[in-house]
Amino acid sequence: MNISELLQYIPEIFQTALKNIGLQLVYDPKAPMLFSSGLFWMLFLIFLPIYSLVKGSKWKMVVFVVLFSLYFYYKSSGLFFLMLIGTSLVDWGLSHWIYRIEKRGGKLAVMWLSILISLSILGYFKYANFFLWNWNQMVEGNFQPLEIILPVGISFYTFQSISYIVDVYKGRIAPTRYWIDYLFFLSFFPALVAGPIVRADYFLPQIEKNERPDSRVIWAGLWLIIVGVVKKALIADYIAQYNDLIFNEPSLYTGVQTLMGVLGYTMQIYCDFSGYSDMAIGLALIMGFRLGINFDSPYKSRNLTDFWRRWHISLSSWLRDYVYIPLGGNRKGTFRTYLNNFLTMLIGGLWHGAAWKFIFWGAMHGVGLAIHKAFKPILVKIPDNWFTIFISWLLTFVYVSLLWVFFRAADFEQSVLIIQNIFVDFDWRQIPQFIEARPAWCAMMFALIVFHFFPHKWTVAVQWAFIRINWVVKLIIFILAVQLVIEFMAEEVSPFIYFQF
Amino acid sequence: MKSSYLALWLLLAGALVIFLTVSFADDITLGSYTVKKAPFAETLLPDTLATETGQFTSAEHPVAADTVPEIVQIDSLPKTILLFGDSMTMNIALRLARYAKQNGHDMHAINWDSSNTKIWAETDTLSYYIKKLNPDFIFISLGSNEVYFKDPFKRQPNVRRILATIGDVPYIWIGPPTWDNRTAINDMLEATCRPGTYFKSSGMEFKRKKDKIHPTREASALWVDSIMRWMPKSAHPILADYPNDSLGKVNSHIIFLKALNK
Repeated sequence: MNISELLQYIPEIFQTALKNIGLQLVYDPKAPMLFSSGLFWMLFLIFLPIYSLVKGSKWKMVVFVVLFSLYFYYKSSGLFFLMLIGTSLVDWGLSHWIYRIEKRGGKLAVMWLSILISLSILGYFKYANFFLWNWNQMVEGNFQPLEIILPVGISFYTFQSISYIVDVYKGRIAPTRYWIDYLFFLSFFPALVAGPIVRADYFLPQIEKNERPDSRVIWAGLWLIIVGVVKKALIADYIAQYNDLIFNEPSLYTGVQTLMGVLGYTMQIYCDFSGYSDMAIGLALIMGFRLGINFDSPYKSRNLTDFWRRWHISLSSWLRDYVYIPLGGNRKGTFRTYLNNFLTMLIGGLWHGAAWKFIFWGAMHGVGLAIHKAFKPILVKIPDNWFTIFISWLLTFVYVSLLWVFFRAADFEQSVLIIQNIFVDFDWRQIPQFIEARPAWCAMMFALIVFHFFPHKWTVAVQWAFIRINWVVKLIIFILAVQLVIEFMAEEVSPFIYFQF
Repeated sequence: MKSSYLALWLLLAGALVIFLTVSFADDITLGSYTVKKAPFAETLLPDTLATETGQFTSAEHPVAADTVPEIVQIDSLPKTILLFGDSMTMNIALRLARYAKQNGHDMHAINWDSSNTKIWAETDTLSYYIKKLNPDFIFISLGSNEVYFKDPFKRQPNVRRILATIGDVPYIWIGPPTWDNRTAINDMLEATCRPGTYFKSSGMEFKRKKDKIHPTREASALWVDSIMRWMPKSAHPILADYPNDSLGKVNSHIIFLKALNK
């Protein structure tokens, strides 16, 4: 084809490209907006210069980010973005009402009204079919599920709105003066669909401050995005391909294969969720906002209490402050402490999904926490040495990994089958064969485990090195990371595991 | 734009331009390895690309295929399609998935690099996926790794074993797109498959990748178009309407199996 022939095609190609870009921009339930997608990359390139221009004025910045966030939510959840606006209006109105009422009883009533509204919306969308199914099981009726679409990220922003209302009631914060500030907090796109759960007392002052990040902070944000993309789009999505085989048909695999699938899922869910958190935190940093850390090498934990201080920190601290402590925490005796722990974890389990498997998963974490608390007086007397450190780490890791089986498997029977398979049909001699058959999978898992156990100061040092290196080297690192993702990526990007929670 | 943001913007924009350019350019190979491209071209210009490659003249005349003498009524039910085979499978799957979506079929593909009829016949991979996916229509793309066999008929028992594993499920065997004058493998496959189930690809002209073996993605798309135009003349025709431009991004559900190097 010569140049003149090629030129003839240009208007047609341009028109087709525009049409296809247009199709990409409208809501598609099968293609939610992901930070690791090409579409988001392109949109962020448009977003960034405008954001830079409006950042000088708090009002312009707030309005622009709110509009972008609402579009982001529309792309992921369609017209549910209107519900988000509605929720923010109701919460904001009620928070001012709480602030104005002088009597404590009145404040309490309005706070509960707001919580009830938030939980009713969440309950309808997330739990209606679950409760109907259970009800029909009890009365032996016919169950016809309601056709309910779960808005993406509803669990995250509902918890944010509850924390805001409770904090206003408790006098920890004053309600935002303007509704749009509250909408900014609730709809902030980096944290909108899969967290971290941002707390109003931590985030709202940052809006007022409207701090412009310096170049070190911006590069630190980009580094976190690269780490997040590699964790999610490279590691989690790649190792998931094998894990899915095991969890979909556990009866077809040997004990060794099943164990590898369970270990694989343990690392997959960490990379998937912490990778998303890293991207969200990195994007927020670039915009000059801090979301706090959400994962702190959780598989280094030596007991369950430690695990929950390192895993999904924004959720566990939310549950501690808004469920465990209001229930009485550890102030009402030993039995109540255990019970409060158990109930908090039960709610944490239910938050993850409307199914008995999640409730069981949460309950077993509650039991584990209670056991750890009960034995703590004895455990603290055991001397700290390499052996005890290893045993406590191993027990915690095995317990957490086995509970992930219940979290991932389709049902309870399948979970039991998987665990049974590991213990009944296990032959060490198959391990070399497994490594030979899946070298890339094994290499990725090995590298992941090694990196996970790096000392924190090493990871900080690497981040600082990235911040300081030359722009061209940064560009090369970025391109290499993206190309690595392309080389390993499956045909279609898998949604984040935590998207529907 | 403030300089702190400008540096970041230039980095992101520069990287995007590089990936976009590579996406539309010819394949980059490092030795025998072809570097994968970001799917920008497929997303932005999914069908324009397929119709602009000029060297695929015989796609308009898919006469090479084996046909049944009488017209068989088209089975209009939506199918669960399984496509499996060697490294040719991936590019076939990308196009076939669009036909599947257009016609209401559900498609899954297993791409096993460097595999051949012996590997598929001797492992339980095929029976596993048939049991798992329960397909009611199968496409097979095998034979390309056996083109150089002096006596391809020695491979006939493997082909029979594969067909026995498939059983009564209707199938189409897509013959290897041979790249030189060796066509004996095609003759063996044609002789072994039931009438109207073998699509003979030898004799067709393909624009190929730099390895001079694999058809390019665009050429593979035209190859699939040819197969689907031939579909009404096959032993068990299913709905195979040309995919609409507005289908958007289509998931090909491809499972990649590692090469065994046997």
